[in-house]
Amino acid sequence: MAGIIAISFILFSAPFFLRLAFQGGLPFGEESYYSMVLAERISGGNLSGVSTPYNLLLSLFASFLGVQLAAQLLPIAFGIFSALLFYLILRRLDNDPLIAILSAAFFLTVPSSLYAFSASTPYSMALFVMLLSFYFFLSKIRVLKGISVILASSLVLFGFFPFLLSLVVFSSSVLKNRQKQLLFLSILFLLAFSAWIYSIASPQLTFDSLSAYLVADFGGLFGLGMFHIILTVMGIVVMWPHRLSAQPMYVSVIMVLGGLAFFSVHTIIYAVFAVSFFSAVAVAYMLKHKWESSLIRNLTLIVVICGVLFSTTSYLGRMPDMEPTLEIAESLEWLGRQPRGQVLSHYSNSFWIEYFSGQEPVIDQFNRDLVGEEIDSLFAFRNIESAKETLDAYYINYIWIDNAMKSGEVWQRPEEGMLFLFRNNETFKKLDERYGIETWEYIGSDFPFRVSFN
Amino acid sequence: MKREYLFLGAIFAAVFAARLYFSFKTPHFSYDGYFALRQVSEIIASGVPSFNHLSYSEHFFLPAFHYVLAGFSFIFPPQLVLKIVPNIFASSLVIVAYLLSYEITKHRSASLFAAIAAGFIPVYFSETLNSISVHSFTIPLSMFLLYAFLKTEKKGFIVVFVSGMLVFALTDASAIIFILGLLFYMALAKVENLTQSKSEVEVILFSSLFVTWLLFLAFKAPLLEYGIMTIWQNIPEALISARFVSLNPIEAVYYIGLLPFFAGVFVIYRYMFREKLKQIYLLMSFALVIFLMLWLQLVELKLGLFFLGSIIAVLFGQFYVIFSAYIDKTKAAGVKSLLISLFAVALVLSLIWPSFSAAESAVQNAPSDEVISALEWARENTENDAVILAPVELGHLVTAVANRHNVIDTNFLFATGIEQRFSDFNDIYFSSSETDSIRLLNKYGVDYIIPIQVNASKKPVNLELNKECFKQVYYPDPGIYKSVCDVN
Repeated sequence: MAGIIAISFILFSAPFFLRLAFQGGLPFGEESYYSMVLAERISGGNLSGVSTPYNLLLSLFASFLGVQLAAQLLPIAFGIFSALLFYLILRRLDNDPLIAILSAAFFLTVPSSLYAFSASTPYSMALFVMLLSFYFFLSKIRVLKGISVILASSLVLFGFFPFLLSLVVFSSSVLKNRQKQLLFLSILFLLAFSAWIYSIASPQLTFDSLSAYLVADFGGLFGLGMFHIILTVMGIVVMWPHRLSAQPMYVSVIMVLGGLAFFSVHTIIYAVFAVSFFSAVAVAYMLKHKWESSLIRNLTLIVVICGVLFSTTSYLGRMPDMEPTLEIAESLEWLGRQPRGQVLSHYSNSFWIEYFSGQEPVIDQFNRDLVGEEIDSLFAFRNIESAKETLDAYYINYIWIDNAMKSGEVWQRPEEGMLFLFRNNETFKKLDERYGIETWEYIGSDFPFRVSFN
Repeated sequence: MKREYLFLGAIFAAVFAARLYFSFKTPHFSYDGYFALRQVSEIIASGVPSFNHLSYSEHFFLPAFHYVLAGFSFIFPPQLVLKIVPNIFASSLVIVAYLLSYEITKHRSASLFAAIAAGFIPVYFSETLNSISVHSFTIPLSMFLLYAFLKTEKKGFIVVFVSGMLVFALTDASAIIFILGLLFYMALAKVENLTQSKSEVEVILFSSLFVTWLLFLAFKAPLLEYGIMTIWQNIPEALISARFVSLNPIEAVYYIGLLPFFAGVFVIYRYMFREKLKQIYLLMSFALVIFLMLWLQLVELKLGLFFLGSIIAVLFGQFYVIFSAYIDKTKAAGVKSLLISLFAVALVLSLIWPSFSAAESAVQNAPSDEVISALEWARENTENDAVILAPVELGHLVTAVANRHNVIDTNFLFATGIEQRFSDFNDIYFSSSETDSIRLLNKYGVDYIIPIQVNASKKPVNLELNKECFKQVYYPDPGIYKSVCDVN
């Protein structure tokens, strides 16, 4: 147990230390900044946008640790407790001690876990609450069983999927009759399959985009390692003859597969328990199985260890270069010293703009379905009048352009679309340029008195 | 020595001689061959291959094959090694096909027929003749690995298989196709209730994990950058359709050979629906996986046909066994020798003619003496850091022969903004607007231009029209022009 605590602390805090060494301790990704913006809002008495208990907890810790430190320490703490709980649950389920310890080891190395317990998002708390409720659920003490029901119900505050997942897993584990169990699995499988049929009709879901999100080795931020996926498939096959004894894990896999199609790609994070368990089953099988050739056995085990560690180290190795960088923060802090205004940028930069500069982004993750099409057209305009019309319509004061936007995120070529319009110095004024990051001011408005944020 | 081995030696010698005959018809290599030539030269000179020197973009490749060639080049002259050694590797497919076919059929004559079919697969014969292609090594290796796989119940062959797999994975990413074939075989064997030995399953398990890990390790950077799209190598849209083409049955017949193709299809049909033979299932699994990958455009057409052709050549041995047994049952049994001779003639004709015709065309398509002379002139007479604009196909020649920087070549994987670069290249080469061309020439820092276009109907812009901006510095055909204007 002490080993699990120590290793989980090392692995879950590794992103924090790597970012501290290379990016001055700035959290990585976009979602952490949304959590920090919300925590700051809550501290200021503004509860708008607060969607999960995590935001309230972060705000509480932020009041004495500072928002940035709290945002980085809170997920690590949830990670350590979750690893411990996961191990205890598997032991309580009378599982083979080898599988329990291997599952805990895989839980610590899956890139999805590393993301969930190092980025400041509600997933860390949701996973912890899920495990805690299941741990209490397995207890013979009635009060604890009652608490487990309350905890499981509270998962609805983190989104419908975690609540649904725990509800289905709980229900599946109370079924004792073999036929009922099979019926339950079949119905669930059919529902998940229907979700996929439904999603195939959706043009956004392509194999390419899905693999980019779901496989960390393909650049996915919260995906699984390739070896974890291979071992999970092997584990599922190995465990199949005893599938009813591991029903909650099979249920989780089916639920996550369905959830991926119906809810969001983030649901892959909830697969960490099943992935860890089945990977452990596969490795335990390799260890216990009588091999024809001991050479092949040893080589296979070495490759498995190397493969799993490769995904983990490769994921951690990306941390120092992940955005936002110190350069982005510096540019946005400079923007923050300018008069208040609306900032046009790529929607993925919105939380950074809000956090570092305090300025208001025109487009973010939430309104992109509403305004995204018009903003995309604005980025593509080479006609100054059309551009001005949209800039005025959205009360835009600043345009903030980072390197990612200029190298494929928005434009491919140096003078493509709106970049070409920046030649017009009666309409645009370059306020700042550092490390290739540009800040422009829109000065050509036909409504000169519209700036009203001062 | 057994008579069959003499025959096998004769087939090998015939295939090798035919390859050398065509290969030495031109002193040059095919366009892509110059990439390998440069890598081998770099290894000889510095001990390491060149991943970005002179090329417009960083190169990404597995260099084991180039090290092997460089090793031979320490003993023999490099030009000779690069002409002969890949052809020895490619000709060895004859021997490997014989071994594999014999392992399946236990019939020596059938295996000799398989060896002939393997030696003259038209697409493989012509494409590996003069191109210093890594596939001249990997295709025989993959067939040898299948042979070793069938013998894994003997302990020594496990080591042979594992070592071969290591070499394959270090040589080319197509090792993953081999793994997919093995996995498909395992699934097919399970479905068909074929008994698989423990050692077979263990070897498949190990190979799958090992090759996956090794390729993920080697291709980590492109996989993180492009994800699953790495398969398509960042090739510009305008060119991808030429390399990743869906399989056309008529083309397949021509490239693989008429008789072996239909014989292969017949054997697959027979063993899929009427009989069960584990060894045939193994080959069938590979054929089906490659067919599927070709259909889904997940593998380059040529590579897919190399694999498919080799497998079908081995299956041809089994076809001979069926054919021979069938004759024995008919009234024609008395003239069996005559029929077999006719069969052999038909096989040779259906393979030799397309092979030689494709080989002749490959030789014709090699860079001409004039182009090589122009590039050699550039090496001697242009500044060391000069940038030379030439067609995409000539990109590797610019770096290998002229030893100068190119603007574009066929390695696209790590090229940033490749669509823009390719579109700019077309604008410079074919645009009628001189101002646009000069602006783009300035953008890429181009000093010299070679105005030819390989395999294209469009003619490049006539540089002689603007003598102020384009000064001809090399007069013999194709000519080299110096770009001297700046557009502000």
